[in-house]
Formats: sequence, structure tokens, C-alpha cells
Amino acid sequence: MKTDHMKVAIVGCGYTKATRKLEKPETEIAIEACLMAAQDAGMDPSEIDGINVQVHHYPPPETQTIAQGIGITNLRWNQDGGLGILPAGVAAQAIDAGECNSVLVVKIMNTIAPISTPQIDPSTGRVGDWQQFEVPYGLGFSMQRVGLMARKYMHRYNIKQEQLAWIPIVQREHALMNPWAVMDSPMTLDDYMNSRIISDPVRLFDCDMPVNGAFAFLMTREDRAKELNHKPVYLKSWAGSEVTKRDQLNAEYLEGPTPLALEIYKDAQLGPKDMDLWYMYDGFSYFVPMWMENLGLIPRGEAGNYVEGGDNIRAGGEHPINTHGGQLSEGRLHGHGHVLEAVQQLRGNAGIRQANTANTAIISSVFPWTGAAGILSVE
Amino acid sequence: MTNEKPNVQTREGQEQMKALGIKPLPDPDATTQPYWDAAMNEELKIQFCSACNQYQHPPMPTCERCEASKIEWRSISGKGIIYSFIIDRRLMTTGFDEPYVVAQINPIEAEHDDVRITTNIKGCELTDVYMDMPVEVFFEEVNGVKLPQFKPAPDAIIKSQQ
Repeated sequence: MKTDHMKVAIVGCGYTKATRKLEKPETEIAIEACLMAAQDAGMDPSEIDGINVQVHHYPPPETQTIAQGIGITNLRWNQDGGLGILPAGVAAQAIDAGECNSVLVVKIMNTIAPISTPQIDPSTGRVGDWQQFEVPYGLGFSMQRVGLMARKYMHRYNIKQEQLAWIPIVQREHALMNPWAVMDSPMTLDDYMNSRIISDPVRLFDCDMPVNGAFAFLMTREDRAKELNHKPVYLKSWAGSEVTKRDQLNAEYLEGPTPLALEIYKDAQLGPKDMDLWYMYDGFSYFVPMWMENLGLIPRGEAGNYVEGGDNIRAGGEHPINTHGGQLSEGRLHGHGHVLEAVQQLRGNAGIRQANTANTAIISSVFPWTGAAGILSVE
Repeated sequence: MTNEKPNVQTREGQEQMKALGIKPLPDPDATTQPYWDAAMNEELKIQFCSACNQYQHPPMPTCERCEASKIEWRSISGKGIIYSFIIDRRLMTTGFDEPYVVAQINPIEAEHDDVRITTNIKGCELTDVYMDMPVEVFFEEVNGVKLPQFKPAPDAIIKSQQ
């Protein structure tokens, strides 16, 4: 998808500190991140007329309370939900359609809520829906499904863990340059290979790091974006996967880019070779090579060779990956960290993390077989 | 006397369920009942769409590909190969003692139909399990329900027995 009537840009970024425990009420941190994004852009909060709040715990805070706290007086558009790049697309569409002019997109992470567990009846042990074919065999969590996909992927292409280990290792290097990252000590290949195996082949260091905090960005129309503090970063295109009725078992694509990838390149009038920076969703490290191949950034089965040793993917390399440390090392921001970092790189204020060439970025969100992707550009 | 049910969200709750002998078992509905009925008779049956000539699993009310509602249940041999597997080293789901193997099986009849049956692999050591291992179905009774399970087929290579 793309905007039809105008370009829409991300113009401001706001973060609270990511912490292992929630240190302030979630409404308060959401307001704090949003105000920071408005201030970063140089836009008065009273001008903002749209909001998207993303919460994945229960009960969620009131969007109205957050909007009032920010100082939004004329809320014309409010659509909550989504993850990562997809809500940026939804907001861009609303702006493009004239439903509003400037939208805050804010993610609140609160790890207090329990992780999702299988829906087992505690008295009888009975499990319904599609879970009835999995939970009686002890399969109930994303990590396990990722392990099944990961082993298949490595087996199919003869890729070794020692090769893919360079993804978490390089992302940790990047995190050490990122003041927002929660992980602050280096990781070696030995550290990775000795990390605890949880659901073989998935190790502890393949899993992202749960954090608490709020993370916001501000989007507006091109004409207004040009008057603000920073170089506008435009959302060129975005798309979500076609999810089938049994999304946990979506068919695998074994040749070339997926339909989702082809759609975003066509809409952006750009190709995989034009993508300077790669922000690959990393809820689990194995998502990164799968996304790289799904998006046609490298040929099928080549990710192991491409990432081995880390030179191609580290800051200063051919295509830096997750220059902020990603969810593995910055923290689990449900794809918001990827968007915020891409914006800072593209407008050239990523500090010591700044990549040499940063005109375009491709961002993926959530599972490689059901997720979304989009393209950001300075033009 | 309390009515408190074990909380499946917590490790304590899972331990309580285990102490009570509660194991996760299927709660069949109209769509899935034929699968579990067949298992009670020690038969493995999966759905087949005669319109597009393909198997599908898990069962659905219509064909996932062509939406045809004319979908039939076919007996399959129970022979297949391991599509992928994990070895769980930490307690994942209540009722299980770690470590345990979870595998997905491609039945030989549905090799190209993207059919994967989730199972444990029993009858060999954890470290004997390998990708593409030939396996065959057997039926395990758990609290009165028969679950299809898979074990190495006669032509599987069992490292620990060599």
C-alpha cells in the first residue's frame, strides 16, 4: 500500500527509558513519550489531531486520558492497535484521506501481564480450537513454533548455528552504542554457543529481552513536515501478509521474495538493492535471516554465509542490520524500536551509530510468515 | 473447602495440575470429531478435498485452498517422515516432563500438500531423532483418550542401538 494524494512523513521520535520493571504508571510514560516526540519535531501538541495507541496487555489504559494528557484538544482520528510498521501505514492512510493531519503512534510495553499460555481448562485439561492438535503434545508457545521453523530452515539450506550466531552478536555490538538499550555487556561467539538451550535449537540468547516503557513517533503531511525541526522521513510503502485460516502453518515460500515484499517494492518504486539499512524484526533471532530472504534482500539460503563473521551486517558494513541492537539487545519494543532507529539514521542523527549511507530503510514487523513490512526514505 | 482451580498461567498451577494427573487433551468440536473418533479406533484419518485433490490438516469446515465444502475423511497409512522437531529442555506445557521432543510429521500420502501432524517421538532416545527420519503412527491412551503418536519406522537409523 502507499499514500495516493501526498507524501506522509515521520517527523518526531520519543522514548522513555526502557526498564526491566515498570517504574511509572503506563499512562504517564505514554504521555511522556508522546510529548517528547512532539517536542523533537517542533510541533505544538494542540496541533496533533490523531492517535494510535498499541497495548498488548490487559487491562489497557484509556486512550482519551493519554490524548488529554498530551494536550490534544481536537482528536479527529483514533485507531488503536497494530504492531511495528503496520500502524504507521494505517496512520499514513488516515492522513492521506484527510481524516486528520498529524498522528502520534505510541507503543506501551508493560511486562506485568502474563505471557500468553495455551487455553487449557484447568479442571479437565481439555483444549479446543486448533490448539487441540498441538497442546496435547506439549506444543503451546511461540518459541517452540519458532524452533520448528528454525530447524527446518537450517536443515534445508545447511546453515549452522555458529553462522546465525553473528546476528545476536552484532546486534549486541550495536546495543553497546545505544544509550536506550538494556543490554550493556558484549557477547562473544562462545557466550552465544554456551547460552542455555530452551527449546532446542532455540537458546536463551535467541530470545528478545522483555522491557517496560513507552515509545512514540509523530507523523504528518509532507507540506507540514518540511517546516519542522528535522529532515522528513517518508513512509514510501507498507503491506501486511495475507493471513490464511491456519496462520501458524502458513505455507513456506522457497523461491524469491514473498508477495508482501513484491508489493512494497512496487509501491515504493524501489527494489531490494536500493535498501541501505535493514531493520528485521527479531522477537527471536531466527526471524532475521528468514525476513532477509522473504524480502529478497539476499537469495534463499544465503543468510548463513551473509551474516557469518558479522562484517556485512555491522554498522559500517554493506547493510547494517538492526543498528540499535534490536529486540534481542535494545529490548522488546514490538517493532517500535526498529522504526524509531530507522528514522534517526535516515535523518542523520544516530550519533556514534550513524551508518555511512542512510537514504532508505526497510523494516519488517512480527513473524516472517504472517507479519508486515514497509519502506522509509528521505525522498 | 475451596473451589480454586489451578492457575495454568503459573508454574505452581502447572505443578498442581500435574499432581492431580490432569494432562492436556483434545476438546473436539464438530469439525475435529472425526479425527479423534478414528484415533479411538486406532486409525489415522485426515481431511481430503476431492475438488483440488489435496489433503489438509488440521481439519477445517471447508477446503482451505478452494473453499469447497465437499471435504472427505480418508484413512492414511500412518507412515511419514519428520519435517522438523524441537527438544524442549524446560517445562513448557503442563503434563509434560522435560526434556521431551515435539515433531511435525509429513505423512507419505500428503508429502506435497503442506500437511504437518504434530506429535511426540517415542520409542527411541531424544538424541536419536533426526530430520527426515522415517516414522510410523501408534496410539497412546491418556486418561481414556487415544492420541496418535509416532515412533521410528523399521527403516529408521537408531544411533543409540548401533
